[in-house]
Amino acid sequence: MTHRRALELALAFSLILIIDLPRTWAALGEPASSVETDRVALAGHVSMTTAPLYTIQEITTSELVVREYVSRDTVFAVAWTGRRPPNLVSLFGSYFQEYLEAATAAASGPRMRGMIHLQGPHVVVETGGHPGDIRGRAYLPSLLPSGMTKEMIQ
Amino acid sequence: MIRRGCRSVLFGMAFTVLLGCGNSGSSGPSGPSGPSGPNVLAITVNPASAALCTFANALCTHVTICQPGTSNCQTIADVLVDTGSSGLRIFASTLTVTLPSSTMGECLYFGSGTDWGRVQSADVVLGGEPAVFVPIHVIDPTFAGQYTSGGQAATNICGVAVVDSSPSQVGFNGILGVGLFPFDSGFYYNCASLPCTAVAVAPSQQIQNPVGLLPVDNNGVILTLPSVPASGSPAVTGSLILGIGTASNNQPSGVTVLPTNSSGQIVTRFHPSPGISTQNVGIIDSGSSVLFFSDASLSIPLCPGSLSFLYCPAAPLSFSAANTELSGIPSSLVSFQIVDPRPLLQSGNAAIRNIGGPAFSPGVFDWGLPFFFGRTVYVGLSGQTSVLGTGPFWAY
Repeated sequence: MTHRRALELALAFSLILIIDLPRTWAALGEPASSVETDRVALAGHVSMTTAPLYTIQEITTSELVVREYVSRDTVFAVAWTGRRPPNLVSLFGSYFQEYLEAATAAASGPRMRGMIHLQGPHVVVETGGHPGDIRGRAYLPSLLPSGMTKEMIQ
Repeated sequence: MIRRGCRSVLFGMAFTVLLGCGNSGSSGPSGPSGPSGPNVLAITVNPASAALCTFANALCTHVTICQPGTSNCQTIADVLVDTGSSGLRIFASTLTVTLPSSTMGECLYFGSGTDWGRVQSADVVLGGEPAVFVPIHVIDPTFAGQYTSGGQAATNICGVAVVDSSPSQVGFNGILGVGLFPFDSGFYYNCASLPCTAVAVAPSQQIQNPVGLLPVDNNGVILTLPSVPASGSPAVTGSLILGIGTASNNQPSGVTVLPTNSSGQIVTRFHPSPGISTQNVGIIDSGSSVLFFSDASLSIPLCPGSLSFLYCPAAPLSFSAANTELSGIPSSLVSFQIVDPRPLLQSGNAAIRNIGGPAFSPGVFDWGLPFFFGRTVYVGLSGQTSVLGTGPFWAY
């Protein structure tokens, strides 16, 4: 009983940290060094993959995996998969407002369901999946390294 | 003992409510040629005279919700039928029955939207089945002050841009999740005091697939829908049958059974062109309005404007894909076409079989509602056994 309560408190506390400190995260459009801030906020661990056009810093937690795509020292794309999405307010940083406006416009009335493709002036956001396996990605088309397609972001 | 007694009384009462509500267009069996019985719910794309469930390929039914242990019931029409999720969700603004108060909230993430609201217990009546006592999701963006009534972030506990805000905004009164799993994969919060805090919740208090709680017809469901022509149909009606092999009207024959992984996924080998085969994660989801798939070898134009999530090919395209169990056997080849959907949508046809869009995640093949037209699809509930085996599985 005591152990369970402690576990619940610990879980609750970890969630509070994520929810209450979103702006300490790294974000789309920010330097590669900010990925470490995300790792701390998510309480995950990072592994790095290097491709010819970019590097991928992958943060893994018990609930989700976030991949941050970096080129010229800038996070130009993020992708996620897991039981829930990451906190998008934090992950999108200054691009969240664009996303919010596009999402609000798309939610103005009934629309077909399944996957969503949203386009702001500078950012593209796509989400899909089903409860238990949620997937999404966001990228800045103008910062995509030449030769890279959006299909490579996953 | 007391609850059991209430149940049988309630069954009789609730059934009376159903018959007495006068909503003949969407209640009861699907017609003279369709299956009938207490385990059958009519399911309809674009029900006549409905103000909701009118967007393309919105498959809906109705459910009855009662104040637990009483005959105080409400029949709710225009509830989306979703094999991609589990549990019943109804907008608070639609509910007129009073449910036991609750301070527990839930974020439930879908591919194309997020629901926030209270977790409250109700007696839920599906078709003419006995009522089941089950926690449901009462969708309410304003619960615990998290979002505005329009779904805009206030405290934003779910961490998303917007949440579903009202029936008129999303186009339905709620979602009946009759998917592969008994529980809903949601995130629960104690909102007795603010800020809400994440909590681990005992299974019996979680939102559950009501099918699994039925006394007999509890091992899964069957969806059967008529085929539609290439030009689409203004509306179609079929049946949601509760139970697999539990009654005379739900005996399977000649189907391929595809067991899934623990996430409800199969393998879909897509053939974008002859000689090419790519492996995808396959899901079968009546709540997805179209077929979502991608392949690096494809360059199908997207539709303009608000339909930019759909393919708009210049001429009809024919494809096939094989659904298999994770081991690769058995295998079932499915052929389909993709056309420019704009003329079909403009014609007012709501049931469209040859409509698709890109899966942003190249590894996912989402068999949305078009897959269900002209098929009988079996959803084997995880952990339950039927003549088709033990769930989770798809069969068709």
